[in-house]
Amino acid sequence: MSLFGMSIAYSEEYTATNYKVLDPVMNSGSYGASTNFKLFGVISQISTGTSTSATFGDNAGFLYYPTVSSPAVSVTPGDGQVALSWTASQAYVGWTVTGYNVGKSTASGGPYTFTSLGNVTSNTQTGLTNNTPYYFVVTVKDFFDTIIATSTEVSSTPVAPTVTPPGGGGGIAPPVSSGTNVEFSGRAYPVSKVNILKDGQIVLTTIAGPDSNFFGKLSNLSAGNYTFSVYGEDKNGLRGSPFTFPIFITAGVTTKIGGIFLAPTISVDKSEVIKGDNIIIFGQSAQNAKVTINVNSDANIFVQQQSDKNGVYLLNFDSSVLELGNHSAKSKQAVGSEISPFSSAVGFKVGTKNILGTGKCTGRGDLNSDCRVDLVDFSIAAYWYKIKLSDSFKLIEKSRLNADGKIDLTDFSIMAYYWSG
Amino acid sequence: MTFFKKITIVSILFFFAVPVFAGQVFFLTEKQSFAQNEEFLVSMYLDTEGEALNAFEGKISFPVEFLEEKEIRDGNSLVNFWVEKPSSVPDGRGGKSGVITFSGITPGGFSGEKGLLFSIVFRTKHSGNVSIQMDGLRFLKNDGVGTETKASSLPFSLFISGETATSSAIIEPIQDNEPPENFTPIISSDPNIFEGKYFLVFATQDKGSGIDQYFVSEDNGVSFSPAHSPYLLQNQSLDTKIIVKAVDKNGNEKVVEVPAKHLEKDKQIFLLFGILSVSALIVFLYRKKIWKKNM
Repeated sequence: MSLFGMSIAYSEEYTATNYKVLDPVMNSGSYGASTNFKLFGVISQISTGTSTSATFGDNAGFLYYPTVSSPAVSVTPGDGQVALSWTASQAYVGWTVTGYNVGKSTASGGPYTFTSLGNVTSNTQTGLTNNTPYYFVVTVKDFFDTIIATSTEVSSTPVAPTVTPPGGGGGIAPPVSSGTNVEFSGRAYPVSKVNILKDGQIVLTTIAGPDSNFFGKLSNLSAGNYTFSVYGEDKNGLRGSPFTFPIFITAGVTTKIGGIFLAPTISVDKSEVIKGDNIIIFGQSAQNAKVTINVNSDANIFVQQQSDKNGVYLLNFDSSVLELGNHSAKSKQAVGSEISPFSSAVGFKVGTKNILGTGKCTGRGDLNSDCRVDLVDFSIAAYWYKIKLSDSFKLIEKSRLNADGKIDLTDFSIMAYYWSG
Repeated sequence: MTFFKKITIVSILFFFAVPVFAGQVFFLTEKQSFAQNEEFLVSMYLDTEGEALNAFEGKISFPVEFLEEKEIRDGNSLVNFWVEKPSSVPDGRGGKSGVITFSGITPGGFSGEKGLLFSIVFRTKHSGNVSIQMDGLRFLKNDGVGTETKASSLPFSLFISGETATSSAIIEPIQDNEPPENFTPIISSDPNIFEGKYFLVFATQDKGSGIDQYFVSEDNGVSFSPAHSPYLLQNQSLDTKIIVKAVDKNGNEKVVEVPAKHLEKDKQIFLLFGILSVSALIVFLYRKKIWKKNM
């Protein structure tokens, strides 16, 4: 089926006039392999490919849609070693991540020597030569040990540390060193604002280039455990989902966090749409990215689009294929072999009237209606924690939090999810 | 039940088994056998078992006949903002009840196998077998609705012998010479708290010994009052600068200032007078120039 030049795939059912395929199964087939190729076979569903005719286009196979996100990798140099940690890959539509490999090379671009690991998100490469640059990639494996995603390359040069690191929970706290730095690099949206949060508070704002790439650096940190989050704001002020990772920063060295690939921003033009009318799903991604939009319904609907040179994507979605009721949409993007996680979902309703959307402010967690969820909102909620709510604040709690008439941990969790800093 | 049926049922259960994601808390300490009057450090860690969790709360209970809580160390915690800082519940008689409560959030969520929640320094008292329990554990997912995940804790037991420890059996304070991290307090107002009056919000971290307390001055540093965020400002005119001091448990201080939002009244009058004077002078000089031209 082809609709406005795009193909729609249902993850559970393919239907045409003359055939119906129900509940296609992934990964129950097997591999055919030779020196030069590997053929994936699945029961009742053909592998990646495109069938076309004058009257239809068919992008067949769940393998057609990128379904595993690329990890972001941090590298911290040490004495004859480099400590790596990475974000866990997100897998969808039948894929399962079962392990990782760390590839190491002394030349950018490889070839790499790989160390096979289990389902862990950290590894220390030892036996390295100080003051020699090393280049690393992390690959993601499925149940069959097939590589299903690869991180971008990061580099680090082992050096002897200048400050003794602390013990856990006691001992000597290391001094702030001018050499204790963190560098962030990755991909956002063309010429977009990129915010970097340290332990929940914005500490750095940078601007991505026209190529969507961004870089930021924090200096003079103390050694210790940190939670860093990175998110972008597109040209319309829409905020993307944060990319969050915990990390231990070692004193006296520069930790690099690379391969941060932000999910696209996403919004809808209507909060409610009459069944059969179109709803516009739009946002911004990296330039010329392959954007996969997932509309959640009883059957998951995937649509793929190409963003333009400004990273803008827009989908005019026919709501006639959706049931009445609440739905949501989210998107992810791919550039080359890099795949972002899915964005947060944006909700809408298929009903009996068209109601225009509220714009960039979702309202959830935003207790003072300043279009941000930050320490001020946290403090307002803390004021009402475990005490009887006033009548006016009950209305705020009902519309912005979980509507149970009280402030407790669940409300703080909602704020933590929608946090903007 | 026939063997075949058992196998069938087990097979069906196996094929329909789904992974149960949970958060598990575990304690780590250097050893589990102590003398009497010996101090030791217990650290509480969280394994999110593959989930991203963003809200945490619970209670730790220990028998006060056997253990005395000396210090709670929350510096370097994975929790960014405490709703309830880890603290001992008083027993109502001036002492501690043997219960420590905590509650907090990490915006964006935490996912990992060994995230530090906080540590406790205990001193042993009488000999015996002792258990430290966890109760009321709640871990919520970073999913936008606060879905509760299955929380569990590994039991922690220790043995206190009949021997008495030497004077050296103490946990040294963290040698922390660094101040808390820099931060930016924010003045705000909201009709739903403090009757719409101006208040101050602030929060920072200390990666060494942890934050002990905050103080606020609204009189240019002449006096400081202990403060919690949100802090109701005494001076609602906002015409003096506000100084906030974050102090860690080793006494190191980070002092930040919030400039006055409005000028003080006498300065406002002075400024207005100055503007009027300058305007009058300009008009006077201009007219003089025109008059000379016409001459």
